[in-house]
Amino acid sequence: MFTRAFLASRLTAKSAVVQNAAPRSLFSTSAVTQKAKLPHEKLRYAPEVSELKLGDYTAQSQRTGVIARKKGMTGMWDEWGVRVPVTVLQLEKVQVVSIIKTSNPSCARLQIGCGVRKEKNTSKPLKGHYDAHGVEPKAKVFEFPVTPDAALPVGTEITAAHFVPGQLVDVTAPSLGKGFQGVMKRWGFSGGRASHGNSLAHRTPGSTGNINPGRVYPGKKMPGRMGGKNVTVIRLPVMKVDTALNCIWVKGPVPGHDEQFIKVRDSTKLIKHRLFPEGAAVPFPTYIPGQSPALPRETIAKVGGQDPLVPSSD
Amino acid sequence: MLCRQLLTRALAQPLFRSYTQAHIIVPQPQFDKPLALPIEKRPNVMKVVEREAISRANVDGRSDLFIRRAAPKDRLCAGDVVTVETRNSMAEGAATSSFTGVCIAIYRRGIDTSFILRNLVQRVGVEIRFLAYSPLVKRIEIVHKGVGYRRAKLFYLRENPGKAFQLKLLKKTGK
Amino acid sequence: MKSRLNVIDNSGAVVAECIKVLKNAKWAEVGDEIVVAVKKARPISEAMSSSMSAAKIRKGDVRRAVIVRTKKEIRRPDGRYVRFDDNACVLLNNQQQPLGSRILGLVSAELRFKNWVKVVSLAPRVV
Repeated sequence: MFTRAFLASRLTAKSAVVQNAAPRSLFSTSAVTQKAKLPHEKLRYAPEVSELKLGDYTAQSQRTGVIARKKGMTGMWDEWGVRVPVTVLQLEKVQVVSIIKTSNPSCARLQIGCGVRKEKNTSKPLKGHYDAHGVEPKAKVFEFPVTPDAALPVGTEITAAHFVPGQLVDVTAPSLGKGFQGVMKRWGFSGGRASHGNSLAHRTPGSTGNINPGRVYPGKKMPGRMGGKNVTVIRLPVMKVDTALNCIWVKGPVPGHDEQFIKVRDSTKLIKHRLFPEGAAVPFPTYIPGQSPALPRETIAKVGGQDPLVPSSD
Repeated sequence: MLCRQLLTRALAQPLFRSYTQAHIIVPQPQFDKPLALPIEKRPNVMKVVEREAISRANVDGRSDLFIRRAAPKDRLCAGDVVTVETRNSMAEGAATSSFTGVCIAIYRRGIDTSFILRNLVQRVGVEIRFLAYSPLVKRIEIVHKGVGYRRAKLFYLRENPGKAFQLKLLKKTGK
Repeated sequence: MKSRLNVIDNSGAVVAECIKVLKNAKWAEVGDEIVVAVKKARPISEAMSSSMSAAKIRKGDVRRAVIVRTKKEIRRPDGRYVRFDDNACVLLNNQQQPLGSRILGLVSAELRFKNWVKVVSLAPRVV
């Protein structure tokens, strides 16, 4: 794992196109000094993994997300003794595979890979891609947008300590397939009446449009295949982080079946909530072993607030 | 390997035993190694999680009561009269309340293992389903072993209680 | 709505029927206020009627009440479930205080969290 990261770092990486962003960390500084080049030109400036340094988290920073595996659900109790249903997500050999250019200078995309893909199951073009970056073939790859200060060199391993207990995350995964479903289940139509002379029209969609256009508008909600589409659940608190199992515990259910690859990233749509708990040291751009404060194996989020088991005095 | 490094480092320095940050709780005891696994073998994470959670919650050996294959005299059976003492809150020195009743069902679900106690209180039937490993459950005690029950779930006692709730033990608390 | 509840205070009513839930919901749970129609009441004796002229409950009276027990199980925050064998309520006056002077059966502890202090203090046992 770690040795592979070192190996990867010796090879070079493509860059984020960063032109006008203010320099914040070592990495972004080096990124700014380089001018954007054509995609086929390989840029050789990204720092090695060993040179990665901790930076300062700002309100504009966006850290990378990760691909995790849903392991299953269980329950735990918080400090008040309130039971919390949780889903266990494991970060299985999550690594930065490459950095991808975007047309937006203030945003790069990190290609993150997860898991292990067998040699015999890797096609040659894919193998070439991984070889070029010096990373072992991954079972699943996805891109996450990051701000320049949060960019990571290729080969960096992202562990469960990337997340802070008590922070909020957004989780995206394909939902469970429901098969061919009618409009009541698929779109929440109200259906027909149960009685009063109703005949064979209890769950039908009813009319599909006016006589005037004489056709059905595209996008009309109709029966069909339901589920298996990407669903995002926003603002899930991280209840627990386990650095030995490389797992995070997320409150509540998560779309998809067990062993499903899911995308976890810092919550973006924060209106009333804070992303990180107050006073938390944010591992930025990620948790770097040796530099970040070492953690105990398991840490649990403190829920805080009033004791819900004692009646309030008002 | 990375995890190993982290672990060994964490073990080497006693500082992390008393790791404090305002928003974080460190559960005790910390298992230095995940229970029963070499981590390279990619064990079933959920089993490890469950085993650790149970061993942490099993402060008074209560998990022995829920071993399915144990001899009936050692474990909790449907029909037993059980007293459960619960804390009213997690605060230090919080008051406790206890409930005694006939166990009419047991649900073995790992960390979410639960059982239902039924009793007549003030001539009204009351059923409480307790989670065995809840930190609020202070004590689970079998006061009397049930005799003559032949089923795993005794829901028929709701309709035909017979003499199930006529025991003195139950009447005393049911006043 | 339309469910029958036992009245467990000494106001004189025995069985009441829920005719309105006083919150924007289709159902009420323990600690919720409802409007009930008294369906069965104890006969009012001469002596009682003279002494307790204020609180005479007859069949057909419409009163407010608070639910104290439900047959549907109630979930507690730590994952516990509590269920009773009957649905029961306590009649209230206009000031949201119990109409009777005594409560004759056990009540659910959820009432504490919904600020029914008087009901809880009158009850002989809270589960």
